[in-house]
Amino acid sequence: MIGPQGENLTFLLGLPRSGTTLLSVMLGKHPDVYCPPEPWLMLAMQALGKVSPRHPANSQVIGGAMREFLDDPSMHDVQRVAAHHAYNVRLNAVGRSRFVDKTPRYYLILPYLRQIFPHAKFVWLIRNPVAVAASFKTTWGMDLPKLLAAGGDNWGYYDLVLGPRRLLNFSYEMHGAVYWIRYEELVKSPEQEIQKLTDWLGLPAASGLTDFDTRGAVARSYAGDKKIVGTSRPHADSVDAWENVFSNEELQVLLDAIGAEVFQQTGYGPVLERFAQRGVYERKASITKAFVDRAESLLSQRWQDVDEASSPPQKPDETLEPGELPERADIGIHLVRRELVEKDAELQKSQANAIQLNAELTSLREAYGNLIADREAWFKQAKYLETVIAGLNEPTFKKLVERMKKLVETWIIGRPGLKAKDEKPLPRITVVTPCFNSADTIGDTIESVRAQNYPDLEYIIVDGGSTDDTPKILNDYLASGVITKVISEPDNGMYDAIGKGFKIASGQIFCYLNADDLFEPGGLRRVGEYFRDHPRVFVIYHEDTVQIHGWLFPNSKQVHCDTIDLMNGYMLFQDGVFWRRGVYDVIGGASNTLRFAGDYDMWLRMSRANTLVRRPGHVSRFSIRHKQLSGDMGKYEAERMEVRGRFWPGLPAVAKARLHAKHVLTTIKNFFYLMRRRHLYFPMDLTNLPPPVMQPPPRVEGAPRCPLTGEEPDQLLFSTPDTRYGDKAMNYVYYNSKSGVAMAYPPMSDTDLAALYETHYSDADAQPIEPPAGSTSPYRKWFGGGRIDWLMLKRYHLISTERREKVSWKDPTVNELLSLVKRTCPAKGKSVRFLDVGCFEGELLDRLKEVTDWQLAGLESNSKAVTVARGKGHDVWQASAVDAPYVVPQGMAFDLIFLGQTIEHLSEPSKILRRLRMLLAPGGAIVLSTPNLDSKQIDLFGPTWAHWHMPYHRALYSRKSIKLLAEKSDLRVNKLVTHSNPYWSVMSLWLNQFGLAGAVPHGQNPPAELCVRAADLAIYSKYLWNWRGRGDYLYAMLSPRET
Amino acid sequence: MALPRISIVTPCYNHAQYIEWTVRSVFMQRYPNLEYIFMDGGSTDGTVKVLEPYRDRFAHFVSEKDKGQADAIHRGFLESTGEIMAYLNSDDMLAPGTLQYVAQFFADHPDIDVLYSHRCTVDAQNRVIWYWVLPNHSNYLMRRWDLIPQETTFWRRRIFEKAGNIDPHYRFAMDYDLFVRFMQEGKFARANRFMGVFRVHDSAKTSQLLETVGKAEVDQVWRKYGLKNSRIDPVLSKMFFYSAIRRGCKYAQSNRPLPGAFNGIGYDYNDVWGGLLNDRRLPPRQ
Repeated sequence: MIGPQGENLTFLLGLPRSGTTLLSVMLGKHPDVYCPPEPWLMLAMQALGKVSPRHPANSQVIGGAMREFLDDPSMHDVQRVAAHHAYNVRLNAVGRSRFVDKTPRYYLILPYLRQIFPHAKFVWLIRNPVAVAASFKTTWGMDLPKLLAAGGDNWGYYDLVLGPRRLLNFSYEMHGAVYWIRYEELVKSPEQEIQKLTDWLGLPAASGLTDFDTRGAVARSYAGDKKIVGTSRPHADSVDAWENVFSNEELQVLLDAIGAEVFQQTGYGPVLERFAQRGVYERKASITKAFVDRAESLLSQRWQDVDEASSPPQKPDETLEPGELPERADIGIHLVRRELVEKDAELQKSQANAIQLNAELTSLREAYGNLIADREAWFKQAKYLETVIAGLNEPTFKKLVERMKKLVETWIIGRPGLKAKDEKPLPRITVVTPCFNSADTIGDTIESVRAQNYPDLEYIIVDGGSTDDTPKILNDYLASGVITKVISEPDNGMYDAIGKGFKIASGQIFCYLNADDLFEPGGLRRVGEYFRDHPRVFVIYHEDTVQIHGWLFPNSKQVHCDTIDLMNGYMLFQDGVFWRRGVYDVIGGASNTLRFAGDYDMWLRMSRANTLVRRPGHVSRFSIRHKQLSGDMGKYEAERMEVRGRFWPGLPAVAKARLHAKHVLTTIKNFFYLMRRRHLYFPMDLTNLPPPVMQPPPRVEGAPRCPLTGEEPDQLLFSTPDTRYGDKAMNYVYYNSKSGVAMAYPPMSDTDLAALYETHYSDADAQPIEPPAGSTSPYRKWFGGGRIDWLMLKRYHLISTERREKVSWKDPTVNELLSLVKRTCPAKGKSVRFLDVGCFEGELLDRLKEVTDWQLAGLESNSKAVTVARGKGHDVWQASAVDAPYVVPQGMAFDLIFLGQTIEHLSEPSKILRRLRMLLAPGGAIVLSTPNLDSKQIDLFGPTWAHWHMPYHRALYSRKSIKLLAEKSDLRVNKLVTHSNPYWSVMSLWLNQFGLAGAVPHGQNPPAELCVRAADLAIYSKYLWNWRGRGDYLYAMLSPRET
Repeated sequence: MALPRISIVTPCYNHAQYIEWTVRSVFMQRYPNLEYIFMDGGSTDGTVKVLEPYRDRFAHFVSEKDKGQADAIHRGFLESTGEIMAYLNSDDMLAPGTLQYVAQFFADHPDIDVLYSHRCTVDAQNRVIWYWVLPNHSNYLMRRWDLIPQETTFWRRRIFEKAGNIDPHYRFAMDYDLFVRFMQEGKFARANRFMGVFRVHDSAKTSQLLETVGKAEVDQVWRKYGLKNSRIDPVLSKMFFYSAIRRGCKYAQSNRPLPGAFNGIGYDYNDVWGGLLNDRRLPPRQ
């Protein structure tokens, strides 16, 4: 039974459409509980005496009488007793003991409920307000967002805006005495939730509450949710149904109206995240506040209407009721006038107000339009960012790695002029070799083509029916895949054979190579790269090198040339000319009638429409032998004149004029070209030909490589035998103009080199070797082709004898070293740890011991030298420079590491420097000295410069390449100075007297007149060349690059 | 100048393929005052056998079952005594000259507590595949995203004692957790060079755990230290990350190498070491 204070009474609160019916049905299954569908009893009680204004007995009188009859406390007593009795009557009727009053709109009168029944219990069934709104729409067809946005008086304001807030506030006021049950959890696990609820209510346990027969009370009732009638178990189907019901705009309205804080406080924070994923975000609090204020005012208006309808009318004091006449006319007129004036003032005020409001409305509309536009833009931006994030979130690390690799590659390769590994492919080159009975030489030619390692090469050999071993050799190479195709049939001369070869060619670049010529290493690659990078160039030509008697020279310089030059007898080196296929097709191919000057004929016809582009560097090698076709110069010349006579008269006058005009430009270009200094160009000394016969170096696989960059060199400087110990083996000196390094070829293994050192360097009895009497030698008496400054110095004796005698001939190493490092490592006053790499017998260490107080140590690989040095009391490790990090004890470091004239002997200098760098103490430096490839004396002595010293010197460095070397070794050039010494000048002078056929070892007494000139050179060097970086050798101080 | 003692801890479990490179890159620094602590988690693939020639060079060598990498590092640090500390995972390497530089740097900058550098990444064959070139240190950026290259990071003992040891409960983000704590206590600096080399390979923990444990643990660190992320932060994070990569690409293309790496990619990192990593010799003890 219900107690007078509401004992055993439970109010089930909630919003309409939030599933209270479901809960009430389940509770109603309990044997103690009576839970009729929605009695609405308390609302009726609260409105006791308030009836419709259309009540026939006058609503105002009823309300007023009730209020007069019963004051507030006694009214409440009456209502409590009545409700109490009503509940108990129903309970008695059904025989239960607990009453659950489930009426959703009780949220309107929550304080009243508490006042009437202070001991009643409250249960709030909470449901996601958006789901409630969705249920309104789907079940009752009530589109709350639309209604809310329109702003009229509707249930959305009460049930959605006010309902949850009031329930929340009520919960807070009751300090948690309201039991919260969540709809989503109820439908997910009804048994547990009901169990908890009945426990809280203090009901005895009962089972089967969650299976219900809904055809009973609910179906028959006036109120309650009829949707439930079809079901017999709670289900969770409608929990997320709201997502498909509303558009984003509608959701925004709902979020604004309900307020994000309501979601958060009722525990629906995750719903906000779902909103955010759909692009609906929380907006300013003032928007929500506007909705709440509007709802409050609507509600209070309603209450007021109800109260007014049931309140006795208040009599105005001095106002006039219509139809009622005053007792005195003057008073009446006075009153009417006063009223009129008042009304007028009111009207004016209202009009002004209306104008102001109109203006406000306009501006608000404008602002609203702007806001809408902004919102669109923000939505767009948010959507874009979402796609960006989605794109960035790759699912697995592997994909991320691949993606990053791809990015790295595209960034590196996608930019022109950078270190692109595989950019555009090299064009296909077709090489045609005509041959006839050339078994002696064809092998070398094919080998040189094979050694090019060009990726896309077509090699066609046209054999004119040889009768010697040639076909056999060709078949061998054909089988090994070096040659693409061999044509073997009698032909009408060399140019006929070439024409046949090109007819079947598939390459984009053409050239032909005679059976006794060779390609220089790496030549075809340079040609291919040039054509690839210069699509508008059609014909290029190079200088070539000349091989004769085992010597190899650069051929004479080529200048820019054009048709007129060719007409006047300018000769191109045939083996260095390359052209595009299209040019060959346009001129109609090689002439098959010419026997000697077919090449001249082709160049002449090609030059008519194309500029012949001169390229620096050497690509091919021309061999001079006896039976050569071109040796027959008389016949060649006659045929050349014939070709010329056919070509020129056939040209139209306009073409002739154009070619002459072009020739003017070419001549100007040549003028400037010939003005330029020619560094490191040593042409054959024609006055000393022929040189003695030498053995050419053995054929070695692969090209010479720059020790710094690994590139193939692009230029041949000269060839030389060993000029210090008289060994006759030939060495070629190549030059890589990009890195500025001259290098020796063929390569030599470390063991061979060590054996050479053993043989010669320990030989104290080596004597100068004069060339045999009567023999000539190239490069003898070479003085740089008569440079004007040198000629002047030689001619006018500017140096006095006294000055000359002051020139020091002593070993300058110690002084030069100390002057270089005097700032960082002074000779006295600081204990410097010094390592001499390649100290030999410790001479430098001896000298340093005398003049400094440094801690000295040495490194030497020659065991005999190590013994000698140790005998002198030096700390010397026996190892090569490569092994330095392994023999120097852990933790020992040096302030100064000196490589005196060492790196030019090494084939991997940067590797050695990288390793030595690890032996440096903080602030330490590596000092190296090496011959200077920028030396002025190279210009003077050419190939007889004493520092070339092949094959012991593997590479020679210029100032530029020393910087590159430092960079490759993680070092930085601190200081770089150059020096000259008369000792080296006199070696060069002496060797120059002999020419390359002779040899000058160390430790000899040179002729006195050479010493005089060497002293002069030393003085000139000091004043003219050393300070310009053009001294004979250089000292570089390298220190770790710190950041 | 007396060089400070540097303690390096290497946790290892079954990385016999790479461990020799790692160990050599530390010993071939030739740093005189080195304390190298090796914590092997009971490897079964011959790691210990590979390290036999180097065994007597370690200050502390343990090979027994442990509770994971973070635990091994934690215990390793407890053993350490050095003034400067770091740990180096068993597949990463140091760049040549790093320890000398670090000692010098800490001597020159008494206010700096933690030093790190750009990252150079190699694959299983020691070929360089990409770089991260990082901007100057910013606490804001580095606290939010786990982008400090751990293998290049060295710190002083004083901040280690203030901020605490590594948290052994992490499997992945133990370095991030540690660095966030360091950032709360001390000052960081980024060296404009490459001090370490990070290896990406199929069995690397980074590749295996990044998506699963990694994200969760990074989240955990954020929560633990109250690092709030705004909605735009994921985008910023990616932008920051890609800018590091992009600057790395620029570095690869440029002709201005920094200490510790060449320009370009695809070269063998052993070349930077002058070929010292592939040998088995060590310099004699002093």
